[in-house]
Amino acid sequence: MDLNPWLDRTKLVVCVGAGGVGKTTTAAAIALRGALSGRRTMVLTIDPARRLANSLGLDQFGNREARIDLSGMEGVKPGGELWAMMLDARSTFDALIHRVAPSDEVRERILANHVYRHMADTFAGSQDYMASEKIYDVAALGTYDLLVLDTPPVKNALDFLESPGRLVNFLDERVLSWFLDGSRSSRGGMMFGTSKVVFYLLGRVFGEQFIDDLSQFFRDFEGLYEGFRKRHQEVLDMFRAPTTQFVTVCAPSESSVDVASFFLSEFERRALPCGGIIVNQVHACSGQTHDAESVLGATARSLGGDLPPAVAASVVARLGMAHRRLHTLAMADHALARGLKSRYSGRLPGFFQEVPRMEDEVHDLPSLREVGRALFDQDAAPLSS
Amino acid sequence: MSVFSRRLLAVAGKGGVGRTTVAAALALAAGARGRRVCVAELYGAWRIQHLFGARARSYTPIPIAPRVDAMSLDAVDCLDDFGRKKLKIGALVKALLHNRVMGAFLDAVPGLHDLQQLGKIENMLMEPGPGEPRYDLVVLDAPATGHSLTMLAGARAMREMTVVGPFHDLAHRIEALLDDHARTGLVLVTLPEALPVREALELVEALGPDAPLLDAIVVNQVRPASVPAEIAGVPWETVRAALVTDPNPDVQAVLATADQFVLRQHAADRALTRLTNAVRARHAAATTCSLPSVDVDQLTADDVRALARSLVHLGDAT
Repeated sequence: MDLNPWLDRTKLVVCVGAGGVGKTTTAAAIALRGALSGRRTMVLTIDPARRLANSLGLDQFGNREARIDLSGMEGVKPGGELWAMMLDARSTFDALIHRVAPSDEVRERILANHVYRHMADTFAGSQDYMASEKIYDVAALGTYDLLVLDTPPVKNALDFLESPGRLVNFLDERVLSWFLDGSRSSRGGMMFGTSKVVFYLLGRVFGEQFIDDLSQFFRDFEGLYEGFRKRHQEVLDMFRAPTTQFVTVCAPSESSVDVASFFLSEFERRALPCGGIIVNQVHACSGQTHDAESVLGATARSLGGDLPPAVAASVVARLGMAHRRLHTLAMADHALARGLKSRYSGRLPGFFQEVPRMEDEVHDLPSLREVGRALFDQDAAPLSS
Repeated sequence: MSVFSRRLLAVAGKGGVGRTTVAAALALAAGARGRRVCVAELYGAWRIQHLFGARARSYTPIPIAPRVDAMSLDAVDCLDDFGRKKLKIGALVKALLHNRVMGAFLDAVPGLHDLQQLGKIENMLMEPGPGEPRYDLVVLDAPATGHSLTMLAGARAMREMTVVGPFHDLAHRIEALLDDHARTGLVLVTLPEALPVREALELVEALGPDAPLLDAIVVNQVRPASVPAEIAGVPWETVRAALVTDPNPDVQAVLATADQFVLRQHAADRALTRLTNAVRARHAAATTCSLPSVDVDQLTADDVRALARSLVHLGDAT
């Protein structure tokens, strides 16, 4: 199956997967491919490997669009542009507060709140949520033909699709309502029993200043809830659109295949449009269809004219070991990849593509183009078969 | 100064590089040098205890070698401990801490879980209670790299957020321990492959003056080159030249394999050289060492003991 028409009809590609599997590289390679085919393309990435960021000219940009210079590339179709943006959770979060705050006063109070300032930076889950926010902003502008999103390498990378109450653990509704009721009644002097003891305890343990900051933060945030909820629905609609495709990226390692498998079940469970599976860094052994004995025999004959027999024998033995090792690695990679495919074939639509391991670092446009060739210039297997 | 004279060694590195194994081996090596050591895993992990024969996870340190214990921390145990020792809270208040809503609240305070576990380690080292073991050194199996730095920064965030109170004091003590270059050292684990080494390099360059001092880089799972630079005294390039003109596809397949290994080795060597140079330039006192690859499906306690023997002299030679 040819992946070029697939990319042509897609407007948003979301790449998910474990860390260290080449997810950012894959996202950048897909984006470059889109740009080469004449589309105005944007890749949004979080914390890319620094050299990749440098090669894309991203180092000095936080949350701002940067145009990648393609003038050195041959064969860019007219209209093709590549843009990149590094997502910064903090500034996206700030922008969101600006948008949904009911008044200037509340906005300024939230932005200055101690708890908010630390939360926006250190909060588990805020990055994924902010990624979805930002991409919605960019998509809503409508200035790009294709968007490619690189998600953070965490298993809860799709949690932003849950209800807004779960987006942010900190705003767990139970805690929120308990806290708001408790602190309200404490202000009115009407607090009884458990609440009173708990607030006393919290104050003793965390310090009253912190508890006051937290209460103020929760009260201010409560007013933003409706804004969050409404916007969340719009973000969800974008991710469920048929022109959106989720792709899971893994390497031939048990742990990353497990993560990929987890994401595929999530696609299924959440009814997300599944684009397919990309297995990166697969060992390719060009000799794997050959008979080892005859391969080494031919090598020995070839060396016979140039090297003394004893040396030739050592060389052949050494090359034989290397060849067997590569063969074993290739077979193991293949078995892992096939195992993943067979678990989901027939259950999900989409493609299954293997990308051979590249021994050189992928850190510039020509090497990204090579990755794109490996992805798009060889037929992928359909996941349905 | 030897790494083994520290009070706390944080073993960091990306997922899958063998951090836990290296942490266990470092603890055994320190024990062999006469130090009283505890190796600690976080978030309820108990791989080391399991490796040394435990049937169940234990928060209380259990012996795995002479002078060496292993413990498995988790936030709930640590919070209980903290409540008992520092807050001196009664049964009613303790029950409240376990209340469902309170639980969700405590889960949600950024960095609180990390803080509780680091706090326990600080407490074990600095003021062990009556009847508690006294350790010279704790080896911490830190979370995967990205999170390690967040975790270390978390103490500062907590101190700033809380302003006063027991958690503020706890955060303050943890910060003091982590920032103290005499007491705390960082051991970074990586693999002899281009990508993990580049990630280690990025971490080394990102370590600011506030981070713990880098004591050592451990290159784990090193194996002999599949295609060495010389075979039976003949340079690989000579062998290659003899094979490259052969039209036989079988010969070319063998050559392609060899080329792939040679390229990989070169990429790894280049990355390692960059890492070594960066370490030398920025962390002059740090040492680099390598551990051999253990080619087994399931690592045993004996394998870890063998690795420990390779680490006993870590940092001595300089």
